[in-house]
Amino acid sequence: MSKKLLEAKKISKSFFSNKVLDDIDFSINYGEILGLIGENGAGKSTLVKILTGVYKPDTGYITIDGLKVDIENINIAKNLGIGIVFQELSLVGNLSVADNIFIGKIPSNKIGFIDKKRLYQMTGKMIDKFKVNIKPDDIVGKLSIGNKQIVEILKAISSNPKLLILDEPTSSLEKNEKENLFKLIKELKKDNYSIIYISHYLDEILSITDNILVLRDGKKIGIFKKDEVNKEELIRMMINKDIKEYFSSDIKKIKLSEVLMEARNISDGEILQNISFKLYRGEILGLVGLLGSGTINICKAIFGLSKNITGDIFLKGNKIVKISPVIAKNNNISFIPEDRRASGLFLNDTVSNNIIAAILKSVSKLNFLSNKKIINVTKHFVDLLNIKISNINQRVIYLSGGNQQKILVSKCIAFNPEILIAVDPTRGIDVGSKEDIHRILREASKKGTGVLLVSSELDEVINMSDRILIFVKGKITKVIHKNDFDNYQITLAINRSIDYEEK
Amino acid sequence: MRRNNINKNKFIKDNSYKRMTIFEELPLLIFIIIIGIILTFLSPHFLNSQNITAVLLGSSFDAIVAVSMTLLLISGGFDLSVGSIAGFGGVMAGKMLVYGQSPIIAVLVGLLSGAFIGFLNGFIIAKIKINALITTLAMLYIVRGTIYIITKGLGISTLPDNFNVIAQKRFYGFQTPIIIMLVFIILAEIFFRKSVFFRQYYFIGGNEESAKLSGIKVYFLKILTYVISGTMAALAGILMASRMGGAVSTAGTGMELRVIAACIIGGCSLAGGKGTMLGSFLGVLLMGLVSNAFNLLGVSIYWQQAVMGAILLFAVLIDVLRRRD
Repeated sequence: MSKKLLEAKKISKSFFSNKVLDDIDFSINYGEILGLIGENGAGKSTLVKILTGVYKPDTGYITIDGLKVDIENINIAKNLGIGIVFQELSLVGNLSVADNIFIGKIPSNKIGFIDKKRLYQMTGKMIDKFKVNIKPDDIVGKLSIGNKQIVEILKAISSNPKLLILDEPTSSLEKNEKENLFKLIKELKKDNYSIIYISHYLDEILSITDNILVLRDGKKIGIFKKDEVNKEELIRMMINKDIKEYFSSDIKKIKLSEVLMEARNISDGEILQNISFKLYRGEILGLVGLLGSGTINICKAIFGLSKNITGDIFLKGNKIVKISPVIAKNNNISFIPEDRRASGLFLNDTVSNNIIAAILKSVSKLNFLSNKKIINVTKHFVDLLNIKISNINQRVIYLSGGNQQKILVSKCIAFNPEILIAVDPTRGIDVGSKEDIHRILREASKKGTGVLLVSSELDEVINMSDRILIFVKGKITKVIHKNDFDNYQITLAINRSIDYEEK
Repeated sequence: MRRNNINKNKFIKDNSYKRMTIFEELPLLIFIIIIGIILTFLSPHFLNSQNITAVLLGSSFDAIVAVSMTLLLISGGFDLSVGSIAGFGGVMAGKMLVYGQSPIIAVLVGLLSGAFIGFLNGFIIAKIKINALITTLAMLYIVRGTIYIITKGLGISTLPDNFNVIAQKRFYGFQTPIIIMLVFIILAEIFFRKSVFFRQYYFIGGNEESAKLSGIKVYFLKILTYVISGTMAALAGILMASRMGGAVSTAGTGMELRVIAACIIGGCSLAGGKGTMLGSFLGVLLMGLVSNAFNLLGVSIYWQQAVMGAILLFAVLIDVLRRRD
C-alpha cells in the first residue's frame, strides 16, 4: 500500500545570491497526506513551484515511481501526475460546475459540438464518487467559497493526477465548509491520491495530514509523524523563537470611559437587524460569528460601504448623516478590508505609493508631494512592521502575502485613525507577520485608537480583544468581557440559534 | 532575528524614489531624436523653423486633447467622444458668432458645451456605471450626429476675423495653439507627477476599490476627468475652427483613436494606473513627426496609418518586454 510515489533529493534553489531552498530531501507515498509548513519566505512556494515545473532546481533531482524526472514546465508536471490547486481561485464564474471542472477537455460529439450529456455524466460521477454536495449544472459564481474550493479541487483531479498540491485551501473557509473539504480530502486519500497540504493553520495540519514537513529559512527542519509533535513544537520549529512571545497578550487594563463610536439600531434590510453597540477609546472590540452572521456587514456599514442602511451612527457623540468612505475617513476612521488584493492594495504600484495612499496631504508641501517625506514615512513603516522589500519602489505585486498585508496595514494606520476597522487583518499569512500586525494593532489601541476586529480565526479574536460581541444571524446575542473569555463558551455562543437572545 | 530585518532594510536608497519617476520616457525621446536626425539627412526641408512650427502646430490640437486623455487613462478610463466634442465645440462657437455674439462669448459657449457633454459622460460612467467604452462610443455618434443636424451637414464657413485671429496670431513665431499646448503640457507634467490632487488619479486607476477605501473621492474625481476631457476637446475644436476660419462638420473625426494611440505609445495603459504627460506628449510628437516625414519624403499618404499602427504595436511590445524581466 505504502509505495513511494515521489522523492525529492537534495533540492537547492537560489535567486541571485539568496538561497531559498537548501538541500531539501523528502518523499511522499501513495495515499499519504504530507503537511508542508513554514513561515512566509521559508521556501514553501519555491518548493511547490519546483514540483510543478515553474522553477528548475539548481541542484538535486526528483523521482516519480522510482524514475528520475525532469519537470520542465507545468504541462510536464501535469503529465507526470502532479496537480495543484492554488490559493487564489481560478474558476469562471458564469459557467457551470461541469464546464469549470472539465474546462480545456470538454467532451465533444462527432461534429465538434459540446456533448453536454456526457459532460454532465462525467461530472456527476466525480460528484458521487467523492460525495460532495453540488450539482453539475450549478453556476459556479453562485456557489459558496467553500464549494468553489471543492470545484477547484475536482478540476485538478479531472486530469487524473497522482499527487495533488493544496495551497492554503481553507484560508477563506468557514468551519462547516472546512469540514466538507476535509471529507473530500479523506475520500481522496482512500482513493490512493497523495496530497501535499500547505497551510498556516496548524490545527488543520495536525488533524488532516499523516506526516509534516517543516521548513525554515529554506532548510528542512524535519519530517514528523503527526502523532509525534504538537502545535507548540511545530510553531517553535517554524520560528525558532520562544512560543510565549506569540501567545502572550499582555494584559492591559482599560477603562471603558470615552465612547468613540456608537451604533444604534443599524439594519441593512438583509442581514443586520437592529445592531447597537459602543466602541470605546483604546479598546479592541472583537466581533465573532459564523459567515453570514453580520460581523463583516456591520463593519462595512460603519465605513459607509453598504446601501440601504437604517439606524444611526454617532462618532464622539455627533450623529453622522449618510456615512460614506470619504466622510468616514474625514472622521478618522480607517478600514482594513478582508481582501488585500481586490480592495486593499494597489498591486502594480510601488511600496511607498501604497503606504502613502491615504496620507497624501501629510507627505506634501503646499499640495506638492515631497520625496523626502514619502521616503521617511515609507522607511518608518518598513521598520515598524519588519516589511521585507528590496527597495521602496518595488512593486507590491512581487511581495509575499505577509509583506503585502503589512503594507496594507501600514496604509490603513498611517493617518493615526481614531477608529480602526480590521477585517481579517492577518488572513493567510505566516505566524511571524501575524505577530507583527498584532503588535501594531495593540500599540494603536494603547495610544487610544478604538479597534473593531473581525477574524475568521477565533483564537485571534480571543487573544487580541478586550471585549467580544457575538453575532448570530444579524443580531448581537452576547457581550463578553476579557476575563470571561473561554474558547468553548464562545464557540457555543456563535453556534446558538437566534432565539438565544430573546430572553 | 527581528533586529536583522531592520538592518537589512537599511540598504534602501534615499534617491531610489526619484530614479523611477524621472525619465521612463527616455527610450521614446531617443527614438524621436533618431527619427529627427534621419529626417535631417534625408530631407533638406526638415530642419527649418517653418517646418518645425508646422509639425508643432499640426500636433498641437491632438496634444491639447492628450492632456486630458492622459489623465483619463491614468485613472483607468478613456474617452472616445473627444473627436466629436472637438467638432461640436467648434460648431457651437461658430453658431454663436453667426448669431453675432462676441468671440469671447463664442469661445465660452463652445467650452461649456464641451464640459457639459463631458459631464454627461462622467455621470453615466461613474454613477450609472455603464462602461466607458460604450458610453463614450455612444456619445461619439450622438454628438457627431448633433453636429450634422445643427449644421445640416455643411459646417459653418467664413467666421469673422476677430475670431480667426485667436489661433492665427503668432508669439515669437509660434501660433497660439502651440503656446497653449506648451503651457498645458508643462503644467500637466508638473502637476500630474507631483501634486497631491493628481496622484489620486493613479490610485483610482491602480485599484478603484482600494482608492475608495482609502477615502479618495472616486466618483467626484472620475466625473471631473470627463468634464476636463470634454472641455479640452472643445478647446482643441475651437482652435481648429479659428485656425481654419470655419467650423467644418467633420472636424475632429478620428482624433480619439489617434490621441489614445499616442498616449499609449507614451507609456499610458488601458488598464490604468500609469502614464505621464511628458510620455503622452512625446507620443503625439512622434506621430506628428512620422506624418511630416511622409510629406517631406513624398511617400504616399496611404502608408501613414499602417505605419502608425505598427508603431503603436511596437511601443506596447517594448513596454511588455521591459516589464517581463
